[in-house]
Amino acid sequence: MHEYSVAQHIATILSEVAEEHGRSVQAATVAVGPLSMIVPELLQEAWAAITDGSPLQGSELRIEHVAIRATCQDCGHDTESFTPFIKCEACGSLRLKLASGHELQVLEAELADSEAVSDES
Amino acid sequence: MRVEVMKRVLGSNEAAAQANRKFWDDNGILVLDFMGSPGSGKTSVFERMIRELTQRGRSLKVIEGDVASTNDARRIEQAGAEAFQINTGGACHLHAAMVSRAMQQLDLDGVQIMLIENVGNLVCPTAFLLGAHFRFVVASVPEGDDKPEKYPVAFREADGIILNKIDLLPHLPFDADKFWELCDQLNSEAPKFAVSCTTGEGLDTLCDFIEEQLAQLGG
Repeated sequence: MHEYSVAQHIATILSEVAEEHGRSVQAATVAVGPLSMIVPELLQEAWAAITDGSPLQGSELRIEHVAIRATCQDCGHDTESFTPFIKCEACGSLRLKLASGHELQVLEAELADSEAVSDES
Repeated sequence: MRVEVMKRVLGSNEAAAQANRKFWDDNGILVLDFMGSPGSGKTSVFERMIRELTQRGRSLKVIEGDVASTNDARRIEQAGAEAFQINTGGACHLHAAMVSRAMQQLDLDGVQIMLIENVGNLVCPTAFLLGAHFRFVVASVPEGDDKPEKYPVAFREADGIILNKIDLLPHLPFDADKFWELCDQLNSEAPKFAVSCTTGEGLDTLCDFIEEQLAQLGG
């Protein structure tokens, strides 16, 4: 249950984006790899709870699942998987170098078309 | 209007972990982070390691992470090492900033090895790096031989795997071959240790390994 911590970190990042552009955040896309052990439903629940009453309230969190991609250190073949039990599809080797799977990254944000009401206006 | 963000969600924790690591490297302190279920015997392994490594002339300190109580810190101090207890008050993992704050409370003069006991949990601590040089996962015989299958990411992400309470193997239906086979499937390269804190079996080997890591750090 680290989804609340994770939601808090996402909220911090998106608040900075909103401030930088002077516009409110309507939606954000977050890449999630299987090795981040995020349960999407729990992250959505945490997002709603964390943003409640804040300027981010009502913003949509879009989760993009990223596969584990690994290159075999024995035969060089690339294998993809969504579970942590992964072996080379070609030769069965367990000696794999992971290229992805740990993702937990805010990719992009969708901002309101009009500028948020600021102190200057 | 769409804007590219491309920011790591736990980037602030990763930055704090990197700062911890730099501090430890600069001071020549080997730091080991231990994850495991509640009751896997992390504190018992610490007590044994502290006694053995202290006898070998090493200086250790400990950071204990628990939801509540100072019970573990007291046990560690009885074993002969100063401990700082972090009470997370409900949080299921330590994060790097908690560890940096704890470090400021400890006198680190002459310390060679710092042991960190993470909150008893095999899910959340894996996502939060602390900056340690080496991360162990501790499992124990009564938990069952399929533990790696049930918590695969913890076993995959660990730098070393410890199976504790092996003195109970004759008494429980635990298939050690199956356990190690699952560990190999998830993490073929991690060094693996079978220990008993009751008989002391395997702890010499574990302490030898820790001293090797210390030597690599230049300690």
